[in-house]
Amino acid sequence: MIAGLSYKDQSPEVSARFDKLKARPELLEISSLYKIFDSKAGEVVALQDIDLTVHRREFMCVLGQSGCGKSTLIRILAGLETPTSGEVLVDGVPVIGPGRDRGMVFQSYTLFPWLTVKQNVMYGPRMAGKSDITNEGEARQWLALVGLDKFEDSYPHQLSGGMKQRAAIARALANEPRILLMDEPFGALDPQTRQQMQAYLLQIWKNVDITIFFITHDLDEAIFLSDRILVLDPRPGRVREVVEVPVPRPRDHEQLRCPEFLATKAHLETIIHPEDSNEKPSFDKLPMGRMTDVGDNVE
Amino acid sequence: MKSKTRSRWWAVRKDLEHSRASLLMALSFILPLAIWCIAAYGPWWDVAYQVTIPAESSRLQSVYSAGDRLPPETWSKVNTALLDDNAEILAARESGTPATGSTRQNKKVLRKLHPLAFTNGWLARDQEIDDTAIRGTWIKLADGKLDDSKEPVTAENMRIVKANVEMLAKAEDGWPKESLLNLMPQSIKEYARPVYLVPPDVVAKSFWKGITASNPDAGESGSERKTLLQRYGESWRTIVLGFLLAIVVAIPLGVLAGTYDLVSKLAEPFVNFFSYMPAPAFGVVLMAMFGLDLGPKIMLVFLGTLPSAILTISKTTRGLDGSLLEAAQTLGANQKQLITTVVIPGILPNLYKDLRLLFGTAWTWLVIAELLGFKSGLSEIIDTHGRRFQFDIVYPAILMIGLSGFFMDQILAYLARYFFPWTDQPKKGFIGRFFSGISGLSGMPRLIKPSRPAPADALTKSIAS
Repeated sequence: MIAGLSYKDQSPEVSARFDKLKARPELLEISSLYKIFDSKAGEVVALQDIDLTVHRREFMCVLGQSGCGKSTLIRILAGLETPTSGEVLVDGVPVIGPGRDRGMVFQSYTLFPWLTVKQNVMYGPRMAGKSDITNEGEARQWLALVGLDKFEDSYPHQLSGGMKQRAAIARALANEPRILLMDEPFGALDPQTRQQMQAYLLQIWKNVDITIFFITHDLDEAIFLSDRILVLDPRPGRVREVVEVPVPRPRDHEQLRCPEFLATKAHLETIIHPEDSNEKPSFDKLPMGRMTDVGDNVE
Repeated sequence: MKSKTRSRWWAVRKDLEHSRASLLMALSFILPLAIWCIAAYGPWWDVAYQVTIPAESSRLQSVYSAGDRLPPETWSKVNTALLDDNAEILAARESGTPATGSTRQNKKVLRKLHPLAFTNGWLARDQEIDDTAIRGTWIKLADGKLDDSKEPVTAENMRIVKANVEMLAKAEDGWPKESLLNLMPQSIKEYARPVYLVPPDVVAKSFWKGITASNPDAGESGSERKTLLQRYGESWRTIVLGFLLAIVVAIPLGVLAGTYDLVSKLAEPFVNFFSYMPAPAFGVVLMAMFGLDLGPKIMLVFLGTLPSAILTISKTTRGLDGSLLEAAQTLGANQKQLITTVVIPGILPNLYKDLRLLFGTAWTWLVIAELLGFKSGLSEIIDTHGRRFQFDIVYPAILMIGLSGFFMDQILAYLARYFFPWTDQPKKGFIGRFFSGISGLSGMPRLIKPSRPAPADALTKSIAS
């Protein structure tokens, strides 16, 4: 498509960056993970033999069509579901249930509506039994980081969607997790807010020692945010490919048109919608006549 | 931006304007009242005269005694007859040849006052033929020493009383030989409505009398009678105790059942089955267990409220957004903390709503409960007076139950916005408008600042910074 440039061609800077990244300690290790659901129709294999390693401070995206098991994967990482077999290690410790070392941000915000924004952010440390005086000071700092310091005493229902999600990110970060699990966090936002939130998340990621595991079905979002993209095939959910994103950092939305970006996107499109290319419906040959009297031809 | 065009009255799932909504809310009470008034005061009920001073005359075929109800034409015939009688007596007196009247006849004339004297409390019921006492009453009445506020004596009859007492005085201790003047018949004008159709004014008067009466009326049977307000207090005591007892049991059980499948499976099937057995059916058992006084009444309200309370509360608890629990878990909350910091605060607004509804249904149980053992409360009034067809006393009691339930619910609904400022508040109800009207008038500071959605550009600004 773009003359000569493949998604595998990395500029020397990007290549050096990846070398540095891979030299970092492994934070998340997923080995031969299976998840099988029992349903009336029989067994459904949601995840099949997933192997993955995520390094510290890496930004990892999981991309896949709906039903490819990406939500199941992140829920297993969070400890909200147990795998049928296989193992997940975070910092070398096996995951056996939900824990403070893995913060999670849900698509549906899940802020506690009865707590103010500040109290929401203080929730995790409070559960850990930390003193409220330090919690409050730290909560203010986290809220300042996500730009919500003026809304600390508002209730969630008074905030817009983007603000709610920023509060949810602050709440997860306030617990100082090793890894931040994000399950399509910007899926419910309008495109403009979404772009802002993406830029925002990268800023936070830069300033906080955190590894991010991010689920999305939006190609642009995945390429824009991540170091590597895990592409899952649907039914059964298994690893199709792990793509190293050649787009240099720091990134901004102007790069949505740069050649590395377009090459990566073109590649992702071919591996994500393979069957679509065969069964593409041809709309120009629909078997129908004109339904109404049409005056001018729009074309 | 305000649009001048008015919205339509009939529009699917569209709210009406404020003024129209208020009008309709007022009408929803005015219309039933109007129907009641039309039914009660409409021209279709026959007029009848209930006799309070009896009438007897040689011109009439029958004797009309107190309590008889006469149609208008008979009533006027009776009046004319007695007028003629009296005119005859007076004419004879003036012509110098007064009509002679036997002592027996004159005593009979005086006795006609008895029913009215009894109603006014001047004479006892059994003094019907106690001529000395009756004669004394006549004299006292003529002297203006008697209070006829309950059943007044007409001015015309007062003249007759005075004239007759003059004659009696002339006769000193004996009885006059002349004919005394007949008392003109008196009556209360009535409408022959069915007994259950009590007109609004009568109910209102009876209601007012009930809530203003300070000392208990002397009962006809001699037993001590309690005022409407005392009965009302008893009802509140029963319902509050029974309801509190029920929710003290139901809230922990319901929350646990909604949280733990173990408790749910263990408790709910039986509770569900139990709720199909109407609580009043256990009335006799409760009386055997708790005696005849307050005990069985409280326990019936308890028993009636409990099963539905458990089921509703567990359902509400289950309705809590599960993702909140997951979020709390990923933030490090343990099992105990999940209940204390997520489940309980999370269900509070809905739990409050449930309790409001349950309290409403508790009034139903109350009415039956109060009839167990020694009757008490408003149901005693309803039952006792209802059996005697005294619906003018029954309706105020029923009305008090309705008003209490209604206002209690409205006030609680209004208070919810102060208890749970984080919830999206529903539109103000009837009472809410009333209260906000009051607080607006007196300039009372609002307890809680009205919630305002965050300005949309705040996000852009904070991103840009």
